[in-house]
Amino acid sequence: MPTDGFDLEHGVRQEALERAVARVGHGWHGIAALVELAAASAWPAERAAHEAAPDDPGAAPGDPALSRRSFLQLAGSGAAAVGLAACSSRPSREILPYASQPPELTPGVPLHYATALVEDGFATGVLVASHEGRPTKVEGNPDHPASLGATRAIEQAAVLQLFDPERARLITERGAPAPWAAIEAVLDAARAARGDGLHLVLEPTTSPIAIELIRRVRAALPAAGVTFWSPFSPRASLAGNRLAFGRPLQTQLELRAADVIVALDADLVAEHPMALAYARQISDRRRVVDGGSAMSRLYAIEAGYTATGVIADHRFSVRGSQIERVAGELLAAVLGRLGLAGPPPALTARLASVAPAAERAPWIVAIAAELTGAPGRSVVVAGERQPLVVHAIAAAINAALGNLGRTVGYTEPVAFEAGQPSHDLAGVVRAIDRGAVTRLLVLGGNPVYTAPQGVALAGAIGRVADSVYLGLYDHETARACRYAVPGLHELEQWGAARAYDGTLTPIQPLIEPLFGGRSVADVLHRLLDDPPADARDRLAAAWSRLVPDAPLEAALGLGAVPGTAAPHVAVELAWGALAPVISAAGARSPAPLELAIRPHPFVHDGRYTNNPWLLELPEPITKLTWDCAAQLSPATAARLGVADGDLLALTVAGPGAAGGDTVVAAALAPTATIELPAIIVPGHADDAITVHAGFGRDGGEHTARGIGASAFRLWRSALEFHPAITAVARGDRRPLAITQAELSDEDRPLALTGTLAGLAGPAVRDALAHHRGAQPSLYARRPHAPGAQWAMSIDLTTCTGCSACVMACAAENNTPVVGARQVRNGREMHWLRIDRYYRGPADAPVLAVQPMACQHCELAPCEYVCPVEATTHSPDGLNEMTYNRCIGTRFCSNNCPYKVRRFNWFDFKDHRGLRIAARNPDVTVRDRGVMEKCTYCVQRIRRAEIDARVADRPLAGSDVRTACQQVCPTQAIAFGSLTEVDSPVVEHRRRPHSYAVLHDQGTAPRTQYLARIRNPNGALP
Amino acid sequence: MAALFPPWTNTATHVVLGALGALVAGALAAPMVCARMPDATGVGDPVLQPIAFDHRHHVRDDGIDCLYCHEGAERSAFAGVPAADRCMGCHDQVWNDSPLIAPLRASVETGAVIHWQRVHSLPDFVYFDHAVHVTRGIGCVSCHGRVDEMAAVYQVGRLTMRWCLDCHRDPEPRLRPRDQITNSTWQPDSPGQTTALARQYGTRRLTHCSTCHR
Repeated sequence: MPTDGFDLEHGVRQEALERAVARVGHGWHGIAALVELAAASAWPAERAAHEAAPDDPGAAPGDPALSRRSFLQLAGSGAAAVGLAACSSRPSREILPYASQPPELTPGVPLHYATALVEDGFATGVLVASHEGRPTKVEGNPDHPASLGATRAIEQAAVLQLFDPERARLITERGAPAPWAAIEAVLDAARAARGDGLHLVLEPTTSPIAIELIRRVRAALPAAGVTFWSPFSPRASLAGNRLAFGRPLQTQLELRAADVIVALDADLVAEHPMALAYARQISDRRRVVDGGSAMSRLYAIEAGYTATGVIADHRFSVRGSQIERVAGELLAAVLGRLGLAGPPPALTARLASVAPAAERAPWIVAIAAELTGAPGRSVVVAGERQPLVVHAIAAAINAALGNLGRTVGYTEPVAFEAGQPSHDLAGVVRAIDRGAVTRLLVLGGNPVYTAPQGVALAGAIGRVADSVYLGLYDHETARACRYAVPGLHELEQWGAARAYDGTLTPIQPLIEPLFGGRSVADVLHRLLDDPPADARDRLAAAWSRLVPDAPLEAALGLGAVPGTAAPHVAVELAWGALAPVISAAGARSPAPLELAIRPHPFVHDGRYTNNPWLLELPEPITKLTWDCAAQLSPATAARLGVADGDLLALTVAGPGAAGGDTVVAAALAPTATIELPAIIVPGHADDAITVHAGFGRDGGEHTARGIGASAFRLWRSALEFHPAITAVARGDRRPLAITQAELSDEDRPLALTGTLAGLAGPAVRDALAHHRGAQPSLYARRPHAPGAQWAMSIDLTTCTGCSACVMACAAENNTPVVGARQVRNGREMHWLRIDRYYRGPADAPVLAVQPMACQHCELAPCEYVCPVEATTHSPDGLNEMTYNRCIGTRFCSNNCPYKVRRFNWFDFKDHRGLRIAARNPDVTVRDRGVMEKCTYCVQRIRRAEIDARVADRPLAGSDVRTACQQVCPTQAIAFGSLTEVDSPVVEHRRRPHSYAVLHDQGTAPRTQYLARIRNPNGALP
Repeated sequence: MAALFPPWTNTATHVVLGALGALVAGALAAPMVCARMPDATGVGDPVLQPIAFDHRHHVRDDGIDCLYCHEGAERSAFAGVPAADRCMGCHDQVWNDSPLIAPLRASVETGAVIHWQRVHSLPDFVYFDHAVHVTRGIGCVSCHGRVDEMAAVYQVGRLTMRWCLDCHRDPEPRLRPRDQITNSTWQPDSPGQTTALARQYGTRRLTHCSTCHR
């Protein structure tokens, strides 16, 4: 050790020590100073250790490089630092009142605002809680037709995206800060040229205000081109309806009127813009009170397992490319039974010759019989990932059955110019290639990333002189453009949008723009050289002009304008145009292996991939987190020789092998390859691979970057589905972060299932009765205290496994994100998980999903073993977890038969940065070493109790809604007090199929389940 | 052979063992005792504020009700500190040019917040609600003491869990009529009065953990 150096440092250290010692006065200042002191005393020793190590790797203990004195200093100061690290930081000791308090606000009492979150142009109405101006929690808006009080997981996570510290903050030119004046110069030049050379790329819009603005741009700048792009906006359904009815129409369903529903690769309850409403409608017809309940019948014919397949009575796995053949067979069978005169003779003759493939003849015939048995009360729906002909056939079947106007209606497209050439992204590239574009404005979305492989947008943008991107992130498109301008989150802006059914929805901000930023409307107004105005004033002016009958204030209060749903139009099936298309359906022979690209249920097309909540939310079927995988059936996996996690190289063939539905505009890359780990999904169609889009991000979003690979690279053109691919096992593997690896329940009575017919008989009822009622116990059962006794009931019949409840729980209860590595170690922190178990034969399994959280056992095994009474029982029946008492023995988790307790192995919580602003202030943020679990949202219970007592009224069980219950699209969760005999939760317990999980353990859980009841067709095996 | 351990070693062993035991017990007890000392709880330590606000003058001399400024106490978990414009409601008429309220004038003019120093601070894992206490007959003075006699406000209650539980186990003696909540000097007329109030309020003994910890 160089002694002179030490002396020098010693002097500095002495100063630091003296400074620190002087500050060791009293209280928290003293602690802070002690930390400083420990750091100061550790300094030379650490420096010495550092300096010695690289020069002399062989230095033995006792070597002068690390003297005993230094070692002891290091060890001592280390111990002091560790001890001090255990102390939490000094709490804030200031109160900062408003200078001028808004009259509607009382600090500590959250306000709720009705607004909407928009995806692919369609609005979902939400109510957002705001604590002193800070939005913290999103709930569904019961008055909005696309929400009905529920949301998806995506809306629940919106606040975390709002507070994403990785959002774009500065206007940049090729990464360097630029002034707004530079953008203004581009806009002014475009206007001066009357739009010559200008092209706008927007996201699809439904807002009448935005539409008016776009029309003004077109009028003022007639030479400008406008293109709308979003990869998963409804496209095939509009084009299919054009085939069937002569013009692009949007299909609207009324599923409450449907006794029989046939979903052709259509995930109605999770993937549709109207999914929340459709899920409610389907489940309202499937609530089982007893064996005599009426229940609709749902058939799902699909390749990958979807939420609709989960709740279906019959699910048939058919690869995506073969579904058009199935649809044709179904049409033939239906028309054969009806003997309809509508179709032209040639088609009738052609269809008469169609015989279902032998393996599916029984169920095609059975479904056709069901459909024709319920004319006007049935519906056949095709999914967006199906070619036009399937949509046309579905329309034809519905028309033949007389369903039009009853279960199916058609409206003009709600999105502006949907189904028209302006929605073709290839047009942008063609215009650029012509040299017709010198200024490109990409306002929102991420088209460079989401463009099909046949649309070489990234290169084309590079050839445009002035390209401007406006959006939330510094992502692929922002980087491809010359200028990037920070955009606004939906919770930061004024505006309007329509729901999928056309209902007009106002959008209001919850917070001032966090990073400045500009809205799409701001840019378009500037392009038109409108005088600067406040965004709200602009909206109010446009609103009163365009919607004179509905005052904006009233609309903002309700979050929707009732009665503005698009009117249904009369349609006439164009059999003549349909006949040749239907005749050709399914003529193509299937490829040895095909690909299906679907939007990821949580990150959609990649727009939410930077949201850690959504990345850590297990994908409902595979339970995969933080990754993207190639889903394939067990048989296909065996053929390819891969197991879970084995890397597959997926290659889509070049244009020579293309057999798509449309002409691909630009040249295709000869082949494109991505690498993804395989994941085996029982029930997936054989010889097909499903890949979720949204991963493989390559921009400046650090959370999203580098996860998985992008399915869009295998997407050849917007209307081409199920291309032939090759898959080659790479020989290496990547461990997957899966939260539930086991597929089977090993015949334990966890998620009980039965049939409606079985429930009517005594045998099943008696068997179910064994799973409820009193059990002998060594422990004395506590008598119920007076007042509410909280309990929950979950209906497994209507649960789709959509996972909105899991996300709502995390958002409400501040559960931390742990990351892929800790998920692989089984340390995920979600209080509520959704277990899924496969039953039945391996090639046609039935999936049972079961939300599982703390069961709030009356005789809770966890409580007996806690040495410090950190988990106790409340008089109102809650199994309480008191974090500040917990010392982290984990005995409770060990003794919990449901395995619902979560332990903070590390300090998982966010410490600084913007994301902590999304926290719920009513729930403690847990520290390292503390056990936690579902509390039945005790903060909401206590809040309701306090509100009732302050208002001097009795507490009703319906005053409390847990986060999971509130968000559930199908209202599968009931919560309330057992003391109210007419409450839903008591009514659920009286049903014959109510049961307790692991009832034989004698834990007397307060959460009970309604067994999953299916309504299978007796004519099918 | 002489005994290896003479008789006094028995005593010495006992003394040493006793001392060790006392040491361990002391080491465990000392932090607990320290945490309850006024130094740690902050009891009796007047807190200086950015404005020399004197409760004696405003409450005792002017007779301003607590709830006029701390209006959240009846409706919210937080009693709240008044916004600057609430203070200015009076002070643009009286003492409006006093140098003492210069920070207040600056706050109203510029919108800059005043950094009031917190006197009563509960840990983050404790959820206390003013509204339910105030509307159920617990007076301000029960926890905050005679604020009307304080120049600079100091903490009277220790705010330890024991201190909370003392009342939660036996709330009845602390009850008062709703119209006397802010009265610092109210005393019950008779011992039976608080019993009657407890019946009227439906007062409960809430001692389970999630009453305060959530």
